[in-house]
Amino acid sequence: MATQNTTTRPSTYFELSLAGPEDLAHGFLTGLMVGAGHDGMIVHGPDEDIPGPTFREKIKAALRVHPHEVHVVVDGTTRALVKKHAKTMFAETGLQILEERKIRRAKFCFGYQAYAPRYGREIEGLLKSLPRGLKIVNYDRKETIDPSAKGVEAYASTHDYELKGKGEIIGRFDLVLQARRILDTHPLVDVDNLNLELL
Amino acid sequence: MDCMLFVRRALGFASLLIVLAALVLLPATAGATTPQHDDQAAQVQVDEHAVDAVDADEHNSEQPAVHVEHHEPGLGTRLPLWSAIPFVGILLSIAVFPLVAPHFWHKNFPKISALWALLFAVPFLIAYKAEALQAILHIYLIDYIPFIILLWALFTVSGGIYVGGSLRGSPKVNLVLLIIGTLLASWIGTTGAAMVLIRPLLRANAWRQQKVHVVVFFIFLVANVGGSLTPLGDPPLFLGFLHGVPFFWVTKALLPEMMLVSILLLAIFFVIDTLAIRKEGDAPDDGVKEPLKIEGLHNLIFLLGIMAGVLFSGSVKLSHIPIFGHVYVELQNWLRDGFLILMGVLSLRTTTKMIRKKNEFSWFPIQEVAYLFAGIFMCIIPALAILQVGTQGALAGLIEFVKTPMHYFWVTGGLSSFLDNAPTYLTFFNTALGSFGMPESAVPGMLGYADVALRNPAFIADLKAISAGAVFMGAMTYIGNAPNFMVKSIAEEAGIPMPSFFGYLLKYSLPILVPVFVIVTLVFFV
Repeated sequence: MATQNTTTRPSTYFELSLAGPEDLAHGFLTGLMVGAGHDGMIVHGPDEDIPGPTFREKIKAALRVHPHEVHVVVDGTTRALVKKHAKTMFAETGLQILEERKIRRAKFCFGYQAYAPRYGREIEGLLKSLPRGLKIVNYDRKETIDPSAKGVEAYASTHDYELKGKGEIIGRFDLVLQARRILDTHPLVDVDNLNLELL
Repeated sequence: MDCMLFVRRALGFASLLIVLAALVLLPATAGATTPQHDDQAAQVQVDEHAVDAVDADEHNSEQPAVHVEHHEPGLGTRLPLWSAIPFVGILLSIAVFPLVAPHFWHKNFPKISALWALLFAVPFLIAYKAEALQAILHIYLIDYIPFIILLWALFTVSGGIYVGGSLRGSPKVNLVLLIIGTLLASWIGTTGAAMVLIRPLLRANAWRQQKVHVVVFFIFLVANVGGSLTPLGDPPLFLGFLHGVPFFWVTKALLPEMMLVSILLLAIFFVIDTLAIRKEGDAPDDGVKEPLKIEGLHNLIFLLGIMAGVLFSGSVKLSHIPIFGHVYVELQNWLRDGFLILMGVLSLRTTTKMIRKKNEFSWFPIQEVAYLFAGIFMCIIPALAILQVGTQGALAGLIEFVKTPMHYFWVTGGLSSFLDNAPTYLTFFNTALGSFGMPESAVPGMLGYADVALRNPAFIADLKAISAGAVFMGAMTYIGNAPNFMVKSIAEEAGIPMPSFFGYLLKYSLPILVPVFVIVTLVFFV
């Protein structure tokens, strides 16, 4: 995967919490952007495994103590567009902006294990192809080659080649999102939730 | 992640400790109720010599020749329960080490097996001298050596068959491969069928995004359930054959159970695979279209030879060859073993090395079986001796606790899920015999092969449940049956993210296999 040019993209992202039904929020925001001819970014939390409402919030929403919350991530220009139409949005749909917080950075944990050199190379190739500007922290990689374990075994099954690794990728929201999507394409890589650090 | 790993390993230990605790506590918790089989036992109780006399006249049946009992009467009544600790120890070693320390286990399993064996054998020989030597010689000559020779022969011959070509892993193609593997497993062994078919299955599904379930159902059907129709299919059934169960008894007895399980699992697989492939779309046309081909087909002749050899030993009764004390080896069994070795050697001589190379054939799996079962058969001596004396032995509680076919199905199966199913089968085979107070030589008679009058429907129902439990539930975990781990390992090396031990259990075994086994219980064992 080619390294992306990251300079032309927006660098500021916000998490918006909206009160209202999830499908309605998704539909309205998508329609708003299309209608306005706006080419900004809008990421719906559940689509990218961004932790949404907490269990407590869900219980409150179910008991109607608290409105149902929808979390979306938008860039600065999209945020301005949504805010501009906030009154219309509320009047037409009942959707309401509860909170908006700037995203300082995003992060996710990943782990992988491969039992053949071919797949080890594939995974390491993916890690090298991630967008510039990201940091991999707490990276722990272990490659084990044990020629005595080559071949088919039944009761003492081991692999002659093992590559295991885990770490955490941290950086700007859009880059982290892109990196997570890239790693998630490989069946031997596990990616955790995409967590946001909010200001 | 380290924390998760620790938790997973701790859970693994905990579950195995529960199994161990169940083994130890069952006798203590069982009530003092009268065994259900007492009345039936009284009806079928026959003098052991009378059974031998019946057997001597019964040359034309397919039952194996009956040999002398394992031990002098009373050894099982004198052995304490703790003498079975090395047996539990070696089974737990096989279950736990591959999960928690695979490389250590890979390098040291022969030493660990020998350690457990010596831990039992040395004090046993010191305490019981000639009686102990006789028991050890008996189990190695009657059980271990034929067991290893059969597995070696099946492994060698099936390793000479290579299935090549470029299939496309659609639900229909996968279903056909699973059906072929399931049918093949009873005739070339689950290990052989798995070895022959896993790579074609992986090649066919290489383009698929979602293929873990394909391998899991392969483990269910080809590596386990499919092996239930003959003693060649799965090691527990061959041990049954060596202990008096006629060759085709399981074919007739387990066919309905096997058919029901297979049809249910194949139907579930087809639905899951069809749903999965809808999300993936059609197979890409990569231009590589190699026609399906099977090389080394002449090995089928040797497979037939192996079957003929085993059948011969079960249908012909020649002379006894005395070895030591009351230990005899029967001539037809030696001839069978020699013939099986000949089949293996002929396969090696007549099959090109390229075929074995393409199958990644090596002797390591059979070395594993040889080393580990050398230890298992030594350590199982006290457990079998205690179980054979039934309610007079230290495991009287277990015998009284496990009463009905449903109990046998779930207890044998439950333990076969976590411990190797061959020794588990042998343990409950002897538990069932012990519950009727019958010697091993009475088995053909109780199954109705020697004399219809001796037929014991309750024992037949128990043995069906034991056989089905041991074979079917070997699929419950990776450690339930030897080919499971082999298939997992080959699939992982082909880039398939196989589930962890608990992932397999929670995502596949519990939601799919357990309901199927509940249906089998309701239909056949209640």
